[in-house]
Parts: sequence; C-alpha cells; structure tokens
Amino acid sequence: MDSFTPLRILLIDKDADRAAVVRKALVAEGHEVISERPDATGLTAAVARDEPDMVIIDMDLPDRDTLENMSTLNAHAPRPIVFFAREQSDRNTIQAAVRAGVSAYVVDGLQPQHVRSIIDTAVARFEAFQSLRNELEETRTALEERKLIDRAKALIMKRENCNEDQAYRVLQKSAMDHSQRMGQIAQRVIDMLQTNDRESAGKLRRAS
Amino acid sequence: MTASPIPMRRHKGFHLRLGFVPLLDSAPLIIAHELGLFFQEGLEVELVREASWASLRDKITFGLLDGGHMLAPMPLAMSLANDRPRSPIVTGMVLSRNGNGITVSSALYPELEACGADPANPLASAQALIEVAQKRGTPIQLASVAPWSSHDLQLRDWIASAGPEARHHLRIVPVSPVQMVDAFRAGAIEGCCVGEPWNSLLEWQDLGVLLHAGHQIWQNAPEKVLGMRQDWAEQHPEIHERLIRVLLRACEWLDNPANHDTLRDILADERYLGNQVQALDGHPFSLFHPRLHQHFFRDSANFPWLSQAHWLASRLARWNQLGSFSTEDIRAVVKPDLFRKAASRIGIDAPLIDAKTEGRHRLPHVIEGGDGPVSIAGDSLLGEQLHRWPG
Repeated sequence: MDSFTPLRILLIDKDADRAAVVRKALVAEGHEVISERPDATGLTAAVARDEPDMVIIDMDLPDRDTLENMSTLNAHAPRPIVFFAREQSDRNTIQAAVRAGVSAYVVDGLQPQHVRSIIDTAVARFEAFQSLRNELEETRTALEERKLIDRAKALIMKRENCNEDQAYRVLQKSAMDHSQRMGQIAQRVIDMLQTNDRESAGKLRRAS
Repeated sequence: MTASPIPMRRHKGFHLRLGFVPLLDSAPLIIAHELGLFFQEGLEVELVREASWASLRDKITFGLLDGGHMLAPMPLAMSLANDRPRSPIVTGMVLSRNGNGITVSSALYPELEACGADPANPLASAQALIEVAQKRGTPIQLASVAPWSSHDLQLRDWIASAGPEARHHLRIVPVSPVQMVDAFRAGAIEGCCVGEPWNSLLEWQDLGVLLHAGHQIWQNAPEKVLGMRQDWAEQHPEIHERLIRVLLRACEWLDNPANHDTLRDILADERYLGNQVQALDGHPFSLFHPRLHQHFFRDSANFPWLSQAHWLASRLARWNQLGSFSTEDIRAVVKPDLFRKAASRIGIDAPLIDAKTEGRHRLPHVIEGGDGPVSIAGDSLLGEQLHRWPG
C-alpha cells in the first residue's frame, strides 16, 4: 500500500554545512532536493517556479512568515506542518521538529507517514549537528575556564600568601556559596584583585 | 540547621519563558527585563527572541514557551481556528496600540498625488491607487508581512474601501519586514503595510514615503498583546496577574518621552533589535514616527476590550483567515476581568464595561471606571464604520 514516491523538497538553511548533510541524507532516501537559499525577494518566486511538495526550513529564519503568508494567499502553496498535527503520533513528530529547530511546509495530499519519515531524517541531522556544536562549545569553555582558574589561583596565592591547594579551595568554596561555576568565580576574583592591584599601585606611586 | 527562606522566584512555576519578535513594540517585555521589574515582582523571566511569528506560535503550541508578545489577532486565530488543530491562548492585556504605516515607493508617491491621493484622506488615496493601476494597465504589487496581523488586515480594508473592483488592480505578495528594504530597492513591490522601525527605515533611505498611518485605518487599534497558553494561565493565575502588573509598569515607563534615549540604548543591544535601531542613528524622529501615534499606556491603552477583539475576529473572517465565531468564543480568549484585578492592585483603574460600540469616537473621552472616571482613546474606523458588540 505504501509505494514510495520521491518528493521534491526545497531546503532552506542559513547553515550551508548543515544543509549539505541534510540534503545528502534526503537524496540517499531517493528524494529530489533543491537547496540553494533564495535571496530576499526570491522565496515566493522559487516556490512558484520549483513547485516543491515540501519545504524544510531552519526555524530561525524570518522567511518563515513569508511562507505562512503564501499559504494563506495561495491555496496551492505548501501549508505549515503544525496544521496537520491532529493525531498524537504527528504531534510527537512535530514537537521533536520544533525542539530541533526544523520547520516544514507540505502541500495537501501527501501521505502522512511519508512526510514523517522525511521530518525524522531532517530532525536527526539537525540534532546531530547541534550536539557536535555543543561539544565544541563545551570544550572551548572548559579550556577558557581552566585558564581563568589558573590566573585566579595565582592572584589569590600572591595576595593571601598561601599554596595552590588552599587557593583552589577558596575558589571552590565561593563557587558553592554563590552557586556559580568555578570559571565565573575565577573571573570575578581576577576582576577584583587586579583592580585592587592597580589601585594600590596608584596609591604607592602617589605616596612616594 | 536553619533553612534560609526560599526566595519567591524560586517557587515552582515562577520561572517563565516568554517569546518576542524583535520589533519596536516588543519593548514592554524588554524594558521590564532590563529595568529589573520582573525580578521585583518575584518573577524569573527568560526572554526568547524569535525570528518569525510562525516560530513563536509553534513554540508556544508545543510548550517550549509559556507565552509572549503576539500580534493582536494571533490569540484569536490560534484559539478559534476551524481548519487546523487549535492552540488555546488567553490575553489579559494589550501591550501597544498603533505603530503600523502604509508606505509607498518614492516613485509611486508623486503618481498617486497627481491622481488625488491625500495623506489626510485614506479613502481618496485608495481611489488614486486604483486609478494609477488602471492607467498603467498592470496591477500594482503591495506587500503584506504576515497573516493574522493587523498590518495585513489594515492593508486589505484600505484597498477594499476603493470598491469591489479594487482587488483586480492590485496584487498582495508576502514579504517579511526584514526583507522590505531590499524588496523596495529591487522594485519588486511598490508599497507595504508594516510596523516600526521599517517605515522609518524606508523613509530614511529615501526608498519610500509614509502615505498613511495604520491609525487612519483603525484608530488606536490594539497592535500587540500579551498572549499566554490557556493551560498555563489556568494553572498560574497569581503569576499571570503579577506578569500583567510588571508589564503595565513597563508600558507606563515607555510612554514617558524622557525615557526614550535610554530605551534606544537598550533596544540597540544585539540581543534585542540590534542593527535595526542602529540603522536609525541620526534619524530626526529617533524611535517614534510622529504620524504613527504608537503608544503603550495612555488613555487605558492596555485594557483588553471584548468589542475590539470581536472587530479583529470579524476582519480575520472577512479575509478568510478565520471561520465563524461567537461572542462566547471571544470571551474565552480575551479577559478584561483579569486585567482589572491585576491593574487595581497597583492603583490603575479600568473601564467598568467590557465592550462598547467601536467607531463612535474620534477623540479621547471619559467613561466610568471602578474608582471614578477613566480616559479612553478615540476609536474611529475607516469610512466611519460602526462595529457593535453583539453579546
């Protein structure tokens, strides 16, 4: 009953790397994918010219309102997928898509399970991309925090005349007291002690 | 061991996620956040910027946001739709009135003037628009920014005022506000109805001239409202009231011109409007175009009139964006009682009636409030129409 019909999909994503990954996955499933991002005024024209069965668009693009508007102005234009979320299974699919930042527009008459599998593919690629990006971000933050903590420790050691372990415990305790990350506390210590240093240096100069 | 008292904002449910679309009229939410007003009321609010109304709608529908800044017709369209799953929303407060403009290209403007267009008379301008299109023999393309918006409805009402044949001489095409300047420059469209700062930007770059203010189509109509998910509102009536109080204070602050330099600096932040505001640096009007009469507080601006919501619903229905609806449907979405209760706690009075005949007053006037007379704004409708609340 469920014979496969390849769909023509217009993919609009400002992230070219991510678009390439999504495109590849959809093409591998047998679909035709148009993925150039149309310019400011070209979106309406592109939808009219290419007549896609489905548009998949990055949720963070303002072009979404243009697509919404097209669907009210033209009965043949693709309609937002959220409008089809009547059954729980569809709601789950769409909720996952909203969380992942994928939005989609489909023309009337497409098989729901067909649409679902395409959405699932796009969502999986968006999520994989996001987790990769989060990992990179975490690594970068961790590195920066370690540098901040080292500098803060050195400042505390100098000022309090203590050893490294003691300085670390001072930082750790105040992070817990203020429920902030070690990196944030370290930044505050650096800001405070460096300002003090500059001020006391100024005082010394004036005194001499 | 003595447990320290839990601050109010740590109680479950006091954390809120509110969405906004970066427009000048999202300022009440931004200002409440930046001035620490949410915090003072014990609310922990996370503001989430959305690039489109569609994203805001989807995130609210699927529970990623509790509510937010909405186009005034949006709670009606989301709650009362017949052709798709409904997403019930309640609104207990108007955030702003006016602020839209109909701007036409600098090339079209003199052509319209030659045919009798008059910035003081939108009916004459609509006739002139049709005349220009007839002379040319080709339809004029005008842009609408979003469905379920007062921009779209005002543009359609204005065109329709020129008679039933008018639509054959014009084409309405979708263009997002952020693309409006480019679309004008490319000559793809010759006019639009859009909010601020886009009219000012088009004028500032000599691409367009503001022909009419939305104010001249529907005087002092609600433009943006606070819309919250109905299930959230049912579970958190006390927080909802606090939220309304905070936003009322922010709206009062916004109507004071002495605060507008501070406002400009805050909105210019990259997390809010960023370069849209920066692009207006040096503009003589700064943020508020004098012809648009955008306001946030004066003349009971925040009161959610059932009759105005009914008017908006009737316009949505007229332009096929909503099916049939009843006065009970409107009451389920729009909550004047909630507003009264929240506002009275901070000494802001509200009208005693929930609905009035719209279109009867050109000037601000005084009606009975809970504690004495309250001032309300004029409410003329294009072509001297009257709209009666049937409830």
